[in-house]
Amino acid sequence: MLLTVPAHAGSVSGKIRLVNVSTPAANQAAGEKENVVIWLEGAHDSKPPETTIKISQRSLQFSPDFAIAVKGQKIEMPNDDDVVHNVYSFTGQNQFNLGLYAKGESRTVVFDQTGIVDVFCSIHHQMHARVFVVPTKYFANGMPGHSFTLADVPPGKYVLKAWHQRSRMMQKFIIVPASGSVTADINLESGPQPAAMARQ
Amino acid sequence: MARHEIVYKASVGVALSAVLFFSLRGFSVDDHRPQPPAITPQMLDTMKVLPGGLAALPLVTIPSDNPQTPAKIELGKKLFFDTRLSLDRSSSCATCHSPEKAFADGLARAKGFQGATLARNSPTVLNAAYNSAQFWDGRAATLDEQCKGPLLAPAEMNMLDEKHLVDRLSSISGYRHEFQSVFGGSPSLDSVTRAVAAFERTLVTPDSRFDHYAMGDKNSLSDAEKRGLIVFIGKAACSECHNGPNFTDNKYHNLGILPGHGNPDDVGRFAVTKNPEDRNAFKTPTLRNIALTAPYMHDGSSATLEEVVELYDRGGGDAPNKSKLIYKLNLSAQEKADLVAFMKSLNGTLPQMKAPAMYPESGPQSKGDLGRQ
Repeated sequence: MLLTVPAHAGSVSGKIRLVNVSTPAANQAAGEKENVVIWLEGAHDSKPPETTIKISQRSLQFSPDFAIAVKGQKIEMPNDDDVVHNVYSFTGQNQFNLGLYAKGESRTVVFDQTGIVDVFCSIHHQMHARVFVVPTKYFANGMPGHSFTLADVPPGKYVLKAWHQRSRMMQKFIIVPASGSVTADINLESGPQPAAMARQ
Repeated sequence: MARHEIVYKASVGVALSAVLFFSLRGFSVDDHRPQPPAITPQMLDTMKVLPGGLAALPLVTIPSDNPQTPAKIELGKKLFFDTRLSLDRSSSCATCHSPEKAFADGLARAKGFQGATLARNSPTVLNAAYNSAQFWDGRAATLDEQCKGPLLAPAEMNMLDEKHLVDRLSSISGYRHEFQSVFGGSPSLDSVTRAVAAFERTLVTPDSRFDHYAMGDKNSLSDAEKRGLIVFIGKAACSECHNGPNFTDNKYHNLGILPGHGNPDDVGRFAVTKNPEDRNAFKTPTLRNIALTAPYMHDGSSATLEEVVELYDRGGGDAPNKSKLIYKLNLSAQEKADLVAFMKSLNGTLPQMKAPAMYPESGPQSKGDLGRQ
C-alpha cells in the first residue's frame, strides 16, 4: 500500500481543559507536564507505524518516562548506563522481562494489547516508565490548556477518547466527514483513575 | 504477552535468549506491585558483555616515545628501589610502593620526607600503567610525568632539582655506565623517569579470578562473588565510576568525605582545574587487588572494605558538593557481604620481587646532602 493518506480525510481538533479549573492559565499550570492521551476507537487501520519508539535507561532513569505506542509498534529499550538493568512489566497481557544487558546492546518490546503498561527495573526500584498503547495511529499527546489535532482521519464514525492521570476517562461519539474538520473539545472532569483502560 | 526481541549491537551472531517469562498475572499499578523478577547468577552468566566495559586486563599500551627494552626495565627497577633517589637517602619509590604491600604502603597516609605524614594515601603502582591520569588529583597524565613529582617534591623525596639528582646518580659509576648503555648519555631527570616508568609498566596483575570469569570461565567466580558482581554493576552502581578493565573511569568525584583524616585544605582535583565542580573531588582508584591495599580512600579514612561499603551504602559523607552519583543504596547485609566477596576476586597474580643489588657509591658526592653517613 503506497498511500498512507486516504483520498478523503478529515481532521479532529479541539481544546483540552480540566473542567474544575477556571482559567486557561490555571489549566496550563495545573496540567503542566501532565499528558493527555487522545485517540480514536473504531478506526480500521490496524497497521502499526514503521517508526520505532526509543525508551533508554540513562542515569538510572527511563528516558523518556512516558511514551505513546500504537499496538504492534516496536519499542526499543537500549541501556545507556554503565550499570545493568532488568526492565520488566507485570501489566496484564503486556507483561515482559528483558533480562540483563549492557550498554551497546538493545532489546525491543512489542505490545499487542492496548492500555497502560507500567515499566520498571527490578534492580533500581525508583525507575518507572509508562507506555500508553493505543489501537491505531490516530492519536495525540496533549496537555491541559493546549489544543490537539488528529490529522488525516478517514471519514467515518468514531469514539473519541481521552485519558488523563487525574481525571475521569472522557469519551464522545464523533463523525468525521470526507473532508473538513470536526471540532471536539476535551473536557476532563476529576474522577477516579481510568485504570480499566489497561484491560482493553 | 508482549513480544520482544534481543538485538546485540556489539556482537554479531546468534543471540542467546536470557529472557525469562513470568506466570504472574493481572494488571498492576505502582502501589500493588508484585515482587519484581529476581536477578540470579545464572542471568549474569548469560551476559555477553559486562556493563561499564568491565573486562579482563588487556596488554599495556606502551607510549611510542618510551619503548620498553629489558635493559631499560632493569635500570628502572634499580632506580625504583634505590633510596639514594631521596635527598636524605632514606626512601625510594618502593618505600611507599612496596612489593610486600602490593606496591602501596599499608598506611592511611603516606610518610614523606623525614617521616612527615602526607595528606593522601599511597595509591598502588600495580596496573597504574592502564590509567590515563596519575595521582589522586590527576595532575600527571603518564607514569613518566608522575615520577618527577615525588622525586622533586620537598615533602617527599626532596631531590631539590634536576641537577642535584643528576649529580647524585652520576657519582655512582654503575649508573653512569648503565644510563650510557640504555639512553646513550649521562643520567637526566627525563631518562630517570623514562626508566622508572618502563619498569612500572611491567607491574600489572592479570589472572584474577574475575579476569577468568570475564574471559568466559563461568566457574571461576563463586555464587557469592557473582551476586556481589550483580550488586556492583546493578543496585550499588559501582560500575558507574569503577569501570573499564582497570575498574576506574579515570575521572574525579566528590564522595562527601569530610576532611579531618588528611589535610583539611586538600581540595583535590580543584587544585589542577580550578573548576568549582572539582572541589574535593578525587580520582576513582582501581579496584584491582583492592583487598591487598587497605586502608582506603584518598585520605585512608576507611580501614576495611566493609567500611568502604558502609560509606557508600549511607550515600557517602556529609561534606558539601557531593557527586550526584553518590546516593543512599539501602543494601542488605547479604548484598554488602557479597560485594566485599566480589572485590576480593579482583586479586591478580602479583609480580614477586626483592630489591635488586645496589651499585656502590664510587664518585664524588654532591654537595648539601642531608643524612650523609
